[in-house]
Amino acid sequence: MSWAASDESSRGMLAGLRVVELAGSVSAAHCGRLLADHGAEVISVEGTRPSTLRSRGPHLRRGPGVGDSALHATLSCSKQGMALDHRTPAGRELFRRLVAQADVVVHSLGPAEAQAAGLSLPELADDHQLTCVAITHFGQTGPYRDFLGDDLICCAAGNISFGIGARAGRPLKLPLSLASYEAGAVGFLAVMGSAVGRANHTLDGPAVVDVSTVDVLASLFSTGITAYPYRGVVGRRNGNHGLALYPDVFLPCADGFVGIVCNQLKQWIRFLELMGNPSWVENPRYRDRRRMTEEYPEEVDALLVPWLAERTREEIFDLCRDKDVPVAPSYTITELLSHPHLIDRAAFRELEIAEGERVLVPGWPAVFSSIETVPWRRGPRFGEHTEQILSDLLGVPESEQEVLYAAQVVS
Amino acid sequence: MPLRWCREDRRGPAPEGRAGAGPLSGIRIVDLCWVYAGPVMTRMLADLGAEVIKVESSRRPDGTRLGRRPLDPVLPVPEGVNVDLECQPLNHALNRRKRSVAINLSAPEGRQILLDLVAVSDVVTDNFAAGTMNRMGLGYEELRQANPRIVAMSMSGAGQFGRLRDVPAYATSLAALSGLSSLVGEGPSLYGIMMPTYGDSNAAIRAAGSLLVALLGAVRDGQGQYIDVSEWEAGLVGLEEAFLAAQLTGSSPGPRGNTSDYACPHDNFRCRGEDEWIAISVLTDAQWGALCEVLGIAADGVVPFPAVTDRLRHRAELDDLVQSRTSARDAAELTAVLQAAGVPAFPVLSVEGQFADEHFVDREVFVQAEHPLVGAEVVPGAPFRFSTKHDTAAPPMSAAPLLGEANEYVICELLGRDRAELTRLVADGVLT
Repeated sequence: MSWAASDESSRGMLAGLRVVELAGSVSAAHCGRLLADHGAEVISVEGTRPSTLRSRGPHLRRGPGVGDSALHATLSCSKQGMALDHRTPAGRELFRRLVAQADVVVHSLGPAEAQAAGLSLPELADDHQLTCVAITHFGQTGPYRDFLGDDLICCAAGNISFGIGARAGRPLKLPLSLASYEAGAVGFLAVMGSAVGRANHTLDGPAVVDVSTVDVLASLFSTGITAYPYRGVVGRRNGNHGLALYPDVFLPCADGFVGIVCNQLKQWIRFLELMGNPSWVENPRYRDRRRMTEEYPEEVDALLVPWLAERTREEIFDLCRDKDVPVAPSYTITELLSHPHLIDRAAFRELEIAEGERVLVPGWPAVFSSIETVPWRRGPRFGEHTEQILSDLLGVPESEQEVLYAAQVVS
Repeated sequence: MPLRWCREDRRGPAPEGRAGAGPLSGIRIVDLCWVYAGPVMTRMLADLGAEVIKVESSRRPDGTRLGRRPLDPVLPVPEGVNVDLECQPLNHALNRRKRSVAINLSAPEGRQILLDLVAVSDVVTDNFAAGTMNRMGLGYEELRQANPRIVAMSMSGAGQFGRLRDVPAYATSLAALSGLSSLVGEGPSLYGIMMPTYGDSNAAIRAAGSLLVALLGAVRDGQGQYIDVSEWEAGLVGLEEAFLAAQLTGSSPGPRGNTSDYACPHDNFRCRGEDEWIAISVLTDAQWGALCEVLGIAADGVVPFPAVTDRLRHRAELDDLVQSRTSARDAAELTAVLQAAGVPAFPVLSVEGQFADEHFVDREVFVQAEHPLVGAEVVPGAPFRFSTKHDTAAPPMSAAPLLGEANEYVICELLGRDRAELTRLVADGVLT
């Protein structure tokens, strides 16, 4: 085989770990990408028609057309691509043979579909050391296991949208596909837990992991669970004001916005000193952080805005850092790509998303003392490795391959 | 099949973990993390079966132990327990399934006890400001001398090096620094702030994954590791799509509300009741037809704007139309009808709505723990369900520890010292 489980030159902590990813969802794709980032051999299995992710924006500069998605190119980088319709009988058989060669399967199938594909616990052979991770909207059990969803639906169910947006206004989802990315990262965490367990002899035989995006949001991101039983509903959206005591606020300045948060009263007092202690600071009304938070936050905003409006983000940032007041500039996406601190840390890496087309993509958010960064490889074209996987991994003779292509079981 | 990636010949003897107690059973974590992001990270590792020993001290308690006392003890308070440090629900939620040892790390003997504990552990974690562990004499070099196979992780706002390494990490400042704030809003309004704790929890998930990558190297190959996690950089990963758009279109993306380029209608719509809403996501033309039928929009059987391209062009008009049909409906009832008709929909839940919904109990998103002072309480469950052929592979749930409840376990059982020594260490203020 050309990619290399046993090849001595293969690198990364997960070199040799074979992952079959059933393509289609952002969450499974992100999970697979995180595994590939550490050298796992990830085979992304699409149906015999290109995944809809292949046409999602942002698009390559050269687009349009099938395969013009820069997002897909990024999510699929360093993976192998196979086009196989696992819903046909012949395709299902091939898929099972592929799974038998794998250490990990990542998919987004509901409970009935997973069972049909042989990916739930009873269907897995007892002696197979397979970790099978399902990342779905509502999970494999419970009253909503067959409900349809997407990020918008998951943010609604997860008590996320309830906390984003104008006070009494429309609830808003997390931006972009963040909900799916978080679920994918939790899937990665579970796979890594199983890998450590297998290496450590504390996990034996098949393991099935059920990740629900709604549950990830509700258990890790929602702020209400701890307070509700004794304080009632908290975390209702409040425009540009946050959960902490005032100031926990996002306000405009001369050249953009700043986020201001003072965990301690002394930080707020230092911030007022920075402002030159305007006459109103003597008023006890502006020392009572609980009342400022609950009763008149906009009134205090209006006192800060004129001072902020005369200063740039960086001026405010420098002044506040000097006095240990946690105020931060709101950076635009473009500004971050050339931010000096992020350059110091090599936070972005260059990725080839199409021939001759390179972009900067956020790299791994941690620096390891002695784990090397695995080079990225361009993601696969549709069905790019189908033939190679049929021949090398599954041992399908050429004559049978022709039949499979003709019957559109593979592509 | 053989575990090719496991390098069979290099695997050491099996640890004393119990089968069925989670894949990380037998792994011991010395956890110096406090407040939010760090404790969320080690909580997930505890959910995978790791033994997490929280190292804290009454001299400098975890910030989440402090504040007005919101819960009253209903059970007898053991002698020597400071109730004022034990009754915060947030602390209970972040630290369930962990143990606690109270060590005064500024005492030389306290520091030595910590290093002795490191020698019999697998992982050390902290989320102090950059450089703090070095200043405490607990930098990676010192930890490695105590245990060459140790995996040490420091998690901080901006990482251990780089010109802004001292930037503190609070949810609001992290959101601003990472670019997330620039995307939170709708139309011309930029709110920049979210109530959900995105930055901390996201960093926790990504740090936990990074830690397990290194731990695999330690368990399999005996390789120690130091990991420097930047919460700021963790916040960039999920914005991948925005970084691509900025480079390929030449301009920074801004807030998009609930809109999608591929689906319409795709929004939260007001329902009957105060602040009641339903999320409706029409991903296909067929779903649009079904929605029209349920809401009585298809007058005379004619579906307006049958193609998504037309719907996207008339988004505002369609949103008004759908809104006019949902405002008198009950969100839960309408959800049931729409899902049965094949249309993705769900009520926008508050935490109150979640507590009333069987999904969250059934799925163990909320679980009960028996706290030694406040009794039964609700804490968040694991963000995954891990099953093996034996069982559900989840370690038993236990409540957040009282400060120093594991002192005896650590000193006598793990470090093999006698009870007289334990008494002396308490009397000398080393264990406090």
